[in-house]
Amino acid sequence: MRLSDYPVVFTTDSNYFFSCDAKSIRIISVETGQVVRILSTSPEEGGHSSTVTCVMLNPKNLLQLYSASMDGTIKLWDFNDAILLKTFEIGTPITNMVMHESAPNDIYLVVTKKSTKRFHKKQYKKSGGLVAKENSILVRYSIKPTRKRMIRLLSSRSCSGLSISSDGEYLVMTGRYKLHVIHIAAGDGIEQGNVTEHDESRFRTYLTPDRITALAFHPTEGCIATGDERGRINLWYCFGKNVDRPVTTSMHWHAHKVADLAFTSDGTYLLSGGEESVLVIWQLGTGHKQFLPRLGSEIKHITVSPDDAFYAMGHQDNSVNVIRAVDLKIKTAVQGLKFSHTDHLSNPLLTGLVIEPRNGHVVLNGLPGTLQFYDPIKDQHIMELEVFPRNKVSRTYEKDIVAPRVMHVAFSNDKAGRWMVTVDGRDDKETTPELYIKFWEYDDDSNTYVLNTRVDSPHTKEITSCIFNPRQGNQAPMVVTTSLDGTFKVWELTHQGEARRGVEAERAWSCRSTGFYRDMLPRCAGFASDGSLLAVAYGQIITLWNPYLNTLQGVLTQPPENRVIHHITFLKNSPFLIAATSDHLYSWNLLTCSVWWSYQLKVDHLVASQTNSNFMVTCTDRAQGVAPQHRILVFKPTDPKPVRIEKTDKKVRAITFMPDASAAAKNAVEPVLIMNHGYAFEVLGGRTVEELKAEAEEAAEKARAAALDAESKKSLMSDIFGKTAAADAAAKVDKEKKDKKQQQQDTVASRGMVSKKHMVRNPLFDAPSHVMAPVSSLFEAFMGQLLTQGKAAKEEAKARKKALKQQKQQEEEAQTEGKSAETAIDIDMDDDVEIVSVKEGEDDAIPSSLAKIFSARLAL
Amino acid sequence: MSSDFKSLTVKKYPRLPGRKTAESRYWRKFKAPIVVKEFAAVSSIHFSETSPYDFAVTASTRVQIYSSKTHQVKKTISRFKDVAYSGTIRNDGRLVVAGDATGLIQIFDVGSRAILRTFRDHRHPVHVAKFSSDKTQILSASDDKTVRIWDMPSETPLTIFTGHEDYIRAGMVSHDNPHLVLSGSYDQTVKLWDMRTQGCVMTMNHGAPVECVDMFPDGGVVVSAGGPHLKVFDLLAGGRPMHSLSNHQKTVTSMCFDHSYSRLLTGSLDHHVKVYNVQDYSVVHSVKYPAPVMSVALSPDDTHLVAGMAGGLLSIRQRVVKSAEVQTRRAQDEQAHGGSYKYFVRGQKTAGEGDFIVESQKKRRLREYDRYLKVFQYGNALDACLRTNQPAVTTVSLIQELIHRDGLRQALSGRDDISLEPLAQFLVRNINNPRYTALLVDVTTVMIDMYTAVLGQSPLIDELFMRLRAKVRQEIAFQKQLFSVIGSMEMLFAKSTSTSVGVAFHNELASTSNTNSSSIAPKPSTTASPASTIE
Repeated sequence: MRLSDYPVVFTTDSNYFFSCDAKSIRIISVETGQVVRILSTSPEEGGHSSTVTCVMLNPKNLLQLYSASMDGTIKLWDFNDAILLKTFEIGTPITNMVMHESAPNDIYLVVTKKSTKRFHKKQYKKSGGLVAKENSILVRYSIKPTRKRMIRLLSSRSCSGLSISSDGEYLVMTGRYKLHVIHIAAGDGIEQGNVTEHDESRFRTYLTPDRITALAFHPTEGCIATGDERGRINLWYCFGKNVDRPVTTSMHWHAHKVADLAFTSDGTYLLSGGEESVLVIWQLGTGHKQFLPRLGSEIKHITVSPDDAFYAMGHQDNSVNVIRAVDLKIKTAVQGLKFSHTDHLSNPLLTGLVIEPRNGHVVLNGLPGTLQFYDPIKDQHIMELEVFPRNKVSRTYEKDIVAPRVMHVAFSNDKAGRWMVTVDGRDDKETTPELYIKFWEYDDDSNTYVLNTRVDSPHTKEITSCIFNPRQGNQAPMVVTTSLDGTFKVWELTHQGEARRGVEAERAWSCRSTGFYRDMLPRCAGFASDGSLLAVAYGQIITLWNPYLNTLQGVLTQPPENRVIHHITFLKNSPFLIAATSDHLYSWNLLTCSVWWSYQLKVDHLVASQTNSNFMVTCTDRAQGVAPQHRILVFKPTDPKPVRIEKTDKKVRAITFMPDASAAAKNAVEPVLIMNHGYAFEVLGGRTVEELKAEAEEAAEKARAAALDAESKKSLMSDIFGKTAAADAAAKVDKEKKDKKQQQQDTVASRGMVSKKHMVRNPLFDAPSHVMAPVSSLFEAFMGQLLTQGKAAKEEAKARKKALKQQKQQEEEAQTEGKSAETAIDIDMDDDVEIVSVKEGEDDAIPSSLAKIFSARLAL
Repeated sequence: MSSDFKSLTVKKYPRLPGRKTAESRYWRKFKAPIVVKEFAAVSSIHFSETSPYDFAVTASTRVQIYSSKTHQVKKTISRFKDVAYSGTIRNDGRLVVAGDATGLIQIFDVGSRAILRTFRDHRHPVHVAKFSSDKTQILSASDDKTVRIWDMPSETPLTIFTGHEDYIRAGMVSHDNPHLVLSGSYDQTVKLWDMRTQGCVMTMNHGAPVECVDMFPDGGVVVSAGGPHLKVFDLLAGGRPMHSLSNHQKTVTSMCFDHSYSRLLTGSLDHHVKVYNVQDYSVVHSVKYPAPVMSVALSPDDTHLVAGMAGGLLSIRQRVVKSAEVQTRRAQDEQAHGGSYKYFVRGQKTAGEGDFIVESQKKRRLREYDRYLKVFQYGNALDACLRTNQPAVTTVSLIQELIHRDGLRQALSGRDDISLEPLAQFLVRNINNPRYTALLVDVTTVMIDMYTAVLGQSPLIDELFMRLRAKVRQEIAFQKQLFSVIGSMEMLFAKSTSTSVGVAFHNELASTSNTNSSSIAPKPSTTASPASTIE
């Protein structure tokens, strides 16, 4: 989900808002925060084939939506039923679009033309491709098929905003240091196509000393607000026609550039936001400022709902927050994948994708210094964990503040995922680098991980890996870290002090032992699945240790190879160890201590499955003259022939197996979760596309119902005073009634009887009062119904009792007969259990004997 | 949204392992021993179970009642013809029983010191005379190898237990069941007697002459002391020995439990009183006395530790109880017992289902430095922290936070000699603390960078800089020495293990390594840098 790339747009009733999510448009309920419907789901079904940049309600019909996209089309949707109504081909990528109800057939667009200059490309990359830095051309496009549909008005460099006045008279566009004001309503020159940019009566251009970054038009007066790079907000009055120097007022609070501006619909307040993560509310008449600080992430867009009840803010961290205008408290927060929107140069994906064993959510880097728990199937944010707690402070000078990084995260293997270990630190290259290992325990009360132990500078250099001992059972958990300072350390949970008078002993993690091998540097480590063997890769050598006794069990060296091992992993319930160097993949058999097979392969990622002994690698083939090919290969440890091959067109950023109970039950291939080149999640295998679609539709249906439900409960009274006890009680009664009705209907249906009175009664009360017949004429019939119902109910009750009695008798008879059969079944079941237990024993025996076999082999 | 301001998180470092466990801190609170000289060895100390917890001290031919408020003798009972033994106060605090070397047992009224009853059947010294948990009976055990139960009102013996083959020097009646009597004798056995069967029901072999026996209140476990050993027997398992401890060098003479029966105290002739945790019978604390300890007792409110010694010294140690502890104890005592009114009405004041509970939200008070941090006044925040005498770790955390916010230079800049002094002082004081060295070296570097230009203008700052340099030099010299020691030790290690593979055990250093594995030796190179710049 990319929620905050472009500003959101509210529906006229302020109950929903539209958010541009890459190629699609999501409709999200303000009340529940759930996605209610998705427009433009796929290009095959008429959706956009590139990023949607702008959406706008059709001024002619407020149930329709225009969407403009980088693919050069404008589409008109009926958003209630998700139907595509029309497509207009423009041909060039569209970045901005406005329209006014006074001229509903004219759309003003800013289209981009590719610049041939090279530095533009560079800038484009730098800004993450969110803002077009190309030549922008303002055109007018007519929906009606006329002789000349597209009329070019103006060309500028990198447009940063386009707005139209509320009376539709003026059009404003900003680009770099210029503010262009176009008097569009004057005369009909535009239709003739004879407009020139030098027409002073129509086009005015005003220069500013700083680059303009934000633009908003006052809803009632002739006033334009612009925000610039230095954080100043300028209000322009008396512009247009023959004014050379308009009157301006400037307001300065922001220290960095103003990211967006918005007026409330009465024009009393101006909202501004930017990098400081503070929403500033300016009261224009008095100049009074109100602040909403510490919003968590930089503000990118601000939208005010049509009824002025909500402010929606798009944030830099891929979230949209809707706050209530009355008390500035959060109403709804919609959060997407944070990592996709962070600065990837300073905050790379160091943790990779880690599956949390408790719920199977994926855990990865979020904002700097945090971890995000994410549900990739439902595409839902679960929680954010601040590993490095801090107040987000915006930079003082030009230089960015060096943010902390979370380098590694691992979970203990028990089903509950009781322990989590993280490695984080901060290195600003000036002061002493900080490095921490933090051990977190799951807290059932608050449903989150709580810090148990923090170890300051556990190693003197960078930590290269951090893994949990996967052994089962109730031994103390164990963690191993390897570091470039040449050592690996074993950490264990210990009791400090003792229990006294009902207070539990303090538990903390401490270093149990430190190991090293010659003066080589360990790059990675792995544990056998029963935890009896620890492998640490030192350069091209794999050393095998007993983690409990701290003894070196053996050393494996790659035969001819002199390359450094980057990845190493044991496989579940198998005596194989997989190692990968930069260009080879090795499968070691630890029973013979020899390489079982090897493969010349450029391995990017190596992941072992948690459920079986398969493993997966991603690799890149770089044949000469051909575009590099990216593949995902799944192997069995015994066989160099891959069991499954998936191709991707671009490099995979991270990959992991996804635990999926349903797939395992169906004996299907294990689904694979990848983060693709565009920082979005994809699931390969497992459930089919149709199933996923059906699921998504079901979820949306639920969301719609919830949204409608919430909406119906909303009233002006509840808005002001909150929910009242009476309303609650009423709701309860309603629900009970419904339940009762349901029950009654069920019983009636089960007996195959149709009681007329229910059928008659329901429509009587469901109809609105103005369509009902006069009460005097209804009275007789209604009372008659009530009276007969009383009698009928009694009879019904009698009948029910009788039926129950009969049923009981029948059941008793059946039980006596069934007893003998049951005992027989019992015996069968016992046999089954025995067989199962024998199997389990065998499985366990294999890995636990690994260590023994080793010592035996070494002795030989 | 708009989350609250996160106040400064002060770093927490683990406690270094040392003698200061929570346990020893507790027992060390028994402070200020008052030493009283008695005429002869103090053979027995017994606390009254009722407030104000006076205690009876038996020494020579007297039993003295001491007040635990004033630590002075309240009453002296000296109506003995020979050495008195085992002065015991009844649990209502009104009667005292004592035996003596002639075999006489007497009951006194505490108030008037009048002899109320005498029992004369024993022919040999009576070393044990105690009240039964049944208030009307007393227990006596004598060197004539008998244990007797007496009825107080009628002054007649109820039961005579014979079976021991040597002097009986220890005995007690079960708290749980007044019919059960425990006795320990010099014949190296502990016997359990039952008044209902009028005989011995269990015999446990201690292995040394038994000096003292005690029993847990539920009557399941017996502890006996004799010789330098302590033995724990499980009565429910037929007298099976559970533990055998010999933490003392010489004979253990007396034992007592604390109020909650979670700790056991033993006094021995080796001058020590040791405290055991009864969960695993490990010694958690030990107190040394100037003479062999003959008797030890702990007051029922756990505030007085009294030990009597062979030379006639009596040591009274008192623990000052904080009001909080009194309250928790009171709350524990007041916890609804079944049958009380409180128990009956418990839980009736909680909010009902329909009640709306108005939650009052307490306004969080920020500390002064936090208030400055909140408004980005970094210099003021640092000043506030240094001015208000915060612990060093708070200041260090604040400096770390300033670095995180890229505000250290801002905080240090623009100071004159008066405002720079506290910071310089702080650096001089703490730069050699291994936990803070790395960070404070960074701060020092920044400070020197900024203020070198104006050195020589203020004698105050000049002197501080010189002191800082001296401190750093001293530390470097120290580190060099340490490294040479480490180097020579490593040579020895290398000799003993020829391989270059190694694993170092950290069991003993577990918690130190928890903080900072290099705490012994911070890198000399980093410490050297400020020194060179100063020079």
